Amino acid sequence: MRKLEIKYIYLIILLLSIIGLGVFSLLINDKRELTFLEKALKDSGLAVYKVIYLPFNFVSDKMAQYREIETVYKENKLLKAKVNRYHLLQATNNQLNRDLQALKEILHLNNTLTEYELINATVISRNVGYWYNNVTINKGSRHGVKNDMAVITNQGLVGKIIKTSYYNSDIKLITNDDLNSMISVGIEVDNRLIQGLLRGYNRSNNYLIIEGVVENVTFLKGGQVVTTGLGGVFPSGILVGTVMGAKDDEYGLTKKVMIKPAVDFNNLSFVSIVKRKG
Amino acid sequence: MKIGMIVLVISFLLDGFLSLWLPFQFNRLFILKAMFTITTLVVIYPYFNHKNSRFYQAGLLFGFLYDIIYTNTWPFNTLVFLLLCYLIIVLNYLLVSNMINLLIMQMVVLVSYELLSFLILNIIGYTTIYLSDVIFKATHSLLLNLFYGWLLLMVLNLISDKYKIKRLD
Repeated sequence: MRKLEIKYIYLIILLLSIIGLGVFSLLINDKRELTFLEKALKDSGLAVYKVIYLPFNFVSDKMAQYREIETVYKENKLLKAKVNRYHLLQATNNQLNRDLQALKEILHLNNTLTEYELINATVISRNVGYWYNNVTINKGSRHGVKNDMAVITNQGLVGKIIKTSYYNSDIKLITNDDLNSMISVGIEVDNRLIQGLLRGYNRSNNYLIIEGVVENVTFLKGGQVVTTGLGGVFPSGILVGTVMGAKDDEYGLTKKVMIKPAVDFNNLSFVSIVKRKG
Repeated sequence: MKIGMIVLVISFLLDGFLSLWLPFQFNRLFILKAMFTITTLVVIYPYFNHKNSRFYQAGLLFGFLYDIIYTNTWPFNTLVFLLLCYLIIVLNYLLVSNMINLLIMQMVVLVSYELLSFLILNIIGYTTIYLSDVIFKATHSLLLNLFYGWLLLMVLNLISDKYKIKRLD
């Protein structure tokens, strides 16, 4: 009788575990929108967090300022030399913009970075818990941020928005396997772009992997990798990284290209969200 | 118990603050991955004076906050923290209270958290984690967290001696 009871207990535990895992997979999902309660709790929690973080932020800013002062003299000299060429460059840039606009109208292109505006945001927490590859920023739906918007820095592509509350959002980094499998990229070889798909990330050596490259070309180290704009999530022309090396895949049919991410994720303090104009 | 809750709040906030200061990429992880909330749960258990239900409530609350504010994985951490509370209670029952045992308890709890994350997140397909990565992260994050646990214990002992705060070992 007692043996039978123990059997039942094991069975119930097993059943509950299976149900629990099912519920987990439904709830722990990047595509699930946050409920009103979750948004409110997250915003109020992060508001308290931001207030407490203010003095730390102040100290960190002052330290950064102090470090910058050390290099400002050298930079100033360099910039002075560049300023003289600025007007010339601006005129060239205007002409190029006009040409670009005309060409885009002819080709009906509408997915380049020029059709987007940037929302600047500050990172307020980075990847707590480690495995989630999430970064939280201080802009949310009230600032026009929506799910699936691309996030960049002046160095290159960071990731995309996966969760938004009213005043904060979460970014999934491209170093996450689930996200980077959806990014179509072009590898610059001899002034043309070779298409491929970001399909993975090597944690230990910090490189992204591009798969599905069918063209038999030699990839030079340092060649730039940019988004192609296919898929509609990421605008075209955002720098993803630079080529580190390439090798044949296990079947010898396509090539695998290893790329070094353009963004230093360990120094991620400010980001820009790419929002379509209009 | 109050002191335990205060320390939990501080550790919870520190987890977030330090994430902005410390490197978080795997190849630069080294020994600096803060998991102070979990470490604190181990250290503060004696301050709950064997009121286990209160301890479970604290675990539940901070697991929930961890999910909502940091990871967006509700109810994963809420339940895992609850399991860790159970583990801490069992370990406290089995082991004599001293510094070495406390460090062992911290190690067991931190590694258990990593293993549970590995199992559950892989099974539900949320992300792909390799066992070798889990072992690397667990071993490399121990030093900072054990040091924090030890420091916390020293500070708590000083405060509890000064203000005559009751604690049951």
